Amino acid sequence: MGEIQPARTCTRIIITSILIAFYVLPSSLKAAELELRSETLLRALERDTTNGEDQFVLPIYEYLSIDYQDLEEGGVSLHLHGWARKDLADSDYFDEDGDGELLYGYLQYARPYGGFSARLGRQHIFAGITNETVDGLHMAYDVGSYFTISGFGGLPAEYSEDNGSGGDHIYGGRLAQHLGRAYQVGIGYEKIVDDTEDVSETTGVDITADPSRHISLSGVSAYNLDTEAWREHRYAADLRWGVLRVGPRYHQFNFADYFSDGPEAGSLFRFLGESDETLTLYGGDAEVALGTRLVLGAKVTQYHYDERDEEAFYAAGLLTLGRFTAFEMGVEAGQMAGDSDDNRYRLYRGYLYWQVGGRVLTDGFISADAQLIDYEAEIYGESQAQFYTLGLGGQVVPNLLTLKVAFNYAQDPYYDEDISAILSLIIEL
Amino acid sequence: MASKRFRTPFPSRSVLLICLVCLTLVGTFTARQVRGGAFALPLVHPDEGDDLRQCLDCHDSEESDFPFERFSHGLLYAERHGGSARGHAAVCAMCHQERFCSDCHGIRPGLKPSLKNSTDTRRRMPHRGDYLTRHRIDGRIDPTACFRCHGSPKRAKLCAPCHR
Repeated sequence: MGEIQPARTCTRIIITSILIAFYVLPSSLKAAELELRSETLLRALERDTTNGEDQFVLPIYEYLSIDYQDLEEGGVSLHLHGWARKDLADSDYFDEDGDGELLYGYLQYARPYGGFSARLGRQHIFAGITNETVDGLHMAYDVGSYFTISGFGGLPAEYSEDNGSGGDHIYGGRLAQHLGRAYQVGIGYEKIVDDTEDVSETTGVDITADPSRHISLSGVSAYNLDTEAWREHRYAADLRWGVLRVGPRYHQFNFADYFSDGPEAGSLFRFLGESDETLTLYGGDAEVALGTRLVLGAKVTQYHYDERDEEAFYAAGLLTLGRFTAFEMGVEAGQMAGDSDDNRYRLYRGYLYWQVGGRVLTDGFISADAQLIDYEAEIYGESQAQFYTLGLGGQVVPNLLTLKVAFNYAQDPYYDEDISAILSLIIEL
Repeated sequence: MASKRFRTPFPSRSVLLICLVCLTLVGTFTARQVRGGAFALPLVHPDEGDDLRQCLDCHDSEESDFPFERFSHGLLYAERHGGSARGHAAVCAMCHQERFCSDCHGIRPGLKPSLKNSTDTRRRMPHRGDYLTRHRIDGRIDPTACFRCHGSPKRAKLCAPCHR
């Protein structure tokens, strides 16, 4: 039942959306544009499966997007995006995974510069404390110049795996007070019920502020109403002086309140919810442009555990040449320094992306990526991982058909000389 | 057991009420004093400019009430875009179709983003290369980062074959 019901729900949403679309759209979209995008990917690889070692796996993926909207006038629009997969080698590699998913499928009403918007169908809601995929309705309305109120309700799409969608529901809302670029402060609420059992009930505040052209601030604090304690605080700043940008950040998580999302939710993490640990992250990143082509970057994060009284530290340096130009290349070196050898590694990466132009294909490119990781302690008898990619592609038919291919080679603790390829065919109408 | 350092002196739902009252008062006060309001945005960015990722190539922030600097895509923008998207998703939607976000944030994207976009080596994507091995260490050091995307039953299916 758990496998069947999500598919039924998706099918219902698609059919309902299309029926409503056919009824509503013709009268509301006089200058509408239909945009259709098909991305077909064919992978070829070998994996050990329950049928034996080195089984050939040949999955073909189809990612299909349909957008029907009037970009200038707005109004009612339709947006669909989903994928399906078929293993042409008929292996059992994907037996425990589904063969497709509707990523989103909704009808939207929105006007340019308008103060009201609504969405009906499967959609991802990312605002304030909410970061959920919902099969339902979401509406937002600007109350005057200084307030925006929004609300949503429906089925929590990510919980349909547990005994179907019966008894599931999600609802919530957010009230934001804003003052142009100066600041936006929001207060949100969200409740998720899975199979009539409460998964989580959360409230919290979020802020974005740009008090000057040199300073931006962002942050969120979420409060677990079930445990009556703060789940997390995440705050970051962005400070800019000419060619230099520095982004300090501070995160704090209380495990008992962060990982306590119901007995069925993410059982993998359930044991962490029984811990009284508090994890604090502080650090940030920085980048500086040296001339017009060279950018230097750095990242540092300090991890501190209250209960275990342990520390970990990650630092990385980056160098990029010709960012987003016809020839871009970069290198990166990073080190994770945990409390024991088991939690330490060094990472090195180099890449290039070369837009070779239209000699063979329109907007043709060659790309490459190399990654080397040294593990301080051996994992399955190996202390090093290597990964290499060589890619090329371009438009076979300008503005209609794009072809890309990537060849991968990996050698790591899990895979010994793993060779794979992925071919991508993109059609845009 | 929750950590005592996170507890507030207020009953749980009082927090919500207090915040609502304060926001209303602040909003009312500022509305009388300062001209402002939410950003009024078109649905899509006009198809002008050489590189829409670099807002400041065309826009002058000093002459606008819009924080263009926040949205300029620097070297590490992919790793810190969440703070901006949380409050200003409509700005992202002016240039990005939602499928762009779904590659990473979709309910179950099918292929990991660095694999689906294998040839686009310029983009800093999560889990590139041998992340299967590295996640053992990253997950021990910061499991909250795993939980954010793989905490729900549907997304946790990816972890289930090994983490039963």
